[in-house]
Amino acid sequence: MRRALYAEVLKSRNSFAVWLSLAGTAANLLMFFILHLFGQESVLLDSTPNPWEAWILSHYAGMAFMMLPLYVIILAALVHFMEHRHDMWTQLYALPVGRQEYVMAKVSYIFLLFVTAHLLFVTGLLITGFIYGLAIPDSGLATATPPATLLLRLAMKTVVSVIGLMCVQSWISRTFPHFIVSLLVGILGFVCAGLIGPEWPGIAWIPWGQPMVLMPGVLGEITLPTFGGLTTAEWGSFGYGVVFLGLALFREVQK
Amino acid sequence: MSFAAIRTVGLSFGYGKGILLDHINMQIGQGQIYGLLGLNGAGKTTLMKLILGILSPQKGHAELFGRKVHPAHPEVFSRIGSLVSRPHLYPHLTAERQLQVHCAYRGLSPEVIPEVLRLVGLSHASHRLIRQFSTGMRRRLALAQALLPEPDLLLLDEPANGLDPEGIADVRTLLLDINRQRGTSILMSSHLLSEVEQTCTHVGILTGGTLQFEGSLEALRELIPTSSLDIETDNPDRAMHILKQSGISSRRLQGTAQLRISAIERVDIPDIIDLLRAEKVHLYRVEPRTKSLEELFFHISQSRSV
Repeated sequence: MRRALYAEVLKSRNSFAVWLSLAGTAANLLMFFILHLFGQESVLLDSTPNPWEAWILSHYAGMAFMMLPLYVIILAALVHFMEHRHDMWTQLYALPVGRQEYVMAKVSYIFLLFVTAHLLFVTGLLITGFIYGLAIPDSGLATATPPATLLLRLAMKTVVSVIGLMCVQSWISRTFPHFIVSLLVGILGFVCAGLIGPEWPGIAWIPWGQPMVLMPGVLGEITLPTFGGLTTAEWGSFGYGVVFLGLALFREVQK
Repeated sequence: MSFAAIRTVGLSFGYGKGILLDHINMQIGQGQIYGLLGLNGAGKTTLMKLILGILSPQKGHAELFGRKVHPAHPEVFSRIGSLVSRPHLYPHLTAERQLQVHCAYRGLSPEVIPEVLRLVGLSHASHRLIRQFSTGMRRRLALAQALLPEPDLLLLDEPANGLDPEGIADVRTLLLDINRQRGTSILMSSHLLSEVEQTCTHVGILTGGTLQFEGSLEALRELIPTSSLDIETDNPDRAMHILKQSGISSRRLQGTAQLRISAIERVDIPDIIDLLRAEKVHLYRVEPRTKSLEELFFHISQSRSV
């Protein structure tokens, strides 16, 4: 699997998936920075004892509800479409690599790209926060220390919340060779989850809804049952991950 | 024990209820260059996909170097290079990066890349994006990809497609060199029958879903021994008359002093020469013409499909 994953990394140069991760993250950060600088978001900074908490929470709240599911849906479709578009599977299946290794490498690569983009997001929000603190000294961001524990907790929860969606979308993108089909199915799921809203108790069991309930849960706007330190949405994400990864691997054996 | 490079046993495949390939038993020995011939839609590409395990047969199986092809055992492909249907390349990568990706999949050192690019004449384009490549360059790069593992077996589907005459000659020389120097077995399909004739040691003719002929080019010619004889003489009209009286039909080649006697057995040639010489006809040139692969191919595919 290591060889196949390395090949995925080599393929990523100049690819849409990488550009989406880099440009999408940068655009998000720029948008949040402008909103804080010129919009009503700046008021929030007074709502917590440490202004960094409000800065971080507002960034995550904006990112998790809208951008997170959409990013994963497009990312999975792009990574698989790279092979579908030119019927690369014909060539890949004639290489000394097990078919299940391709599945594992694709999912791992999507995960790796997501984690990298998320690290960029975290780094970016710290840098933009500091710049904001310099621009507006009253905010206190330039003098206060960012809460590492909160940041780490949110980063971990974010990653866990998308594992299920990542595997579901990977399975869809592998099964349907048309980019539009995998995108439409994903967007349909995302819109349905958005319309149902995070207040509905069953939302934790919908893969497109799991990233959406992340921040309302953290902010205490909704209460999700917790088992072993993880919410039902996070367990659900793991569950979907295992089931759909299993389905994808099984599909390759059946062929 | 030396296994055949490729062996198929009762390989059958179809889409829906239609049968595309029916009970194909094929054998390609090590070191052979095997040309797979067939009309469009005969199933050549499908047969290659079945041999490589890209498609699953409905009946039968394929073996590579004595090992049954199965998706669970991809190790056998470490000795095999292939180019099936059309070049499968990532247009957003450079030629060098494309080959690096394949080196990574195969666990090969990227040090082999400059050499294979040189072999296919693409050293100058190693840092160019594939989306800027012409059709011929893409095919050359796909060939380089197939050559990366220094394969024992090459499966090439229409390797000369999209190449200019110089490119076709280059590929022919390359394949012959690889076969001679490394003993690489080659299975190639081609519409260019003259290319197959110049490159291959063995041929297989696929018609109507079955393998109508398999064997060496010599065996194919022996199977249909009738050929023609061209005779250049001082008096073609008189020669035609003499031959006609002996029951041998001939025709004069337009604008020349030559006759062509069609459908003749090789053993009859000395008798024809003796007959004309006895009648004081001067013979300047007597040239037996063996059937071209094109003629043989159409003879087999038409006679068996009737």
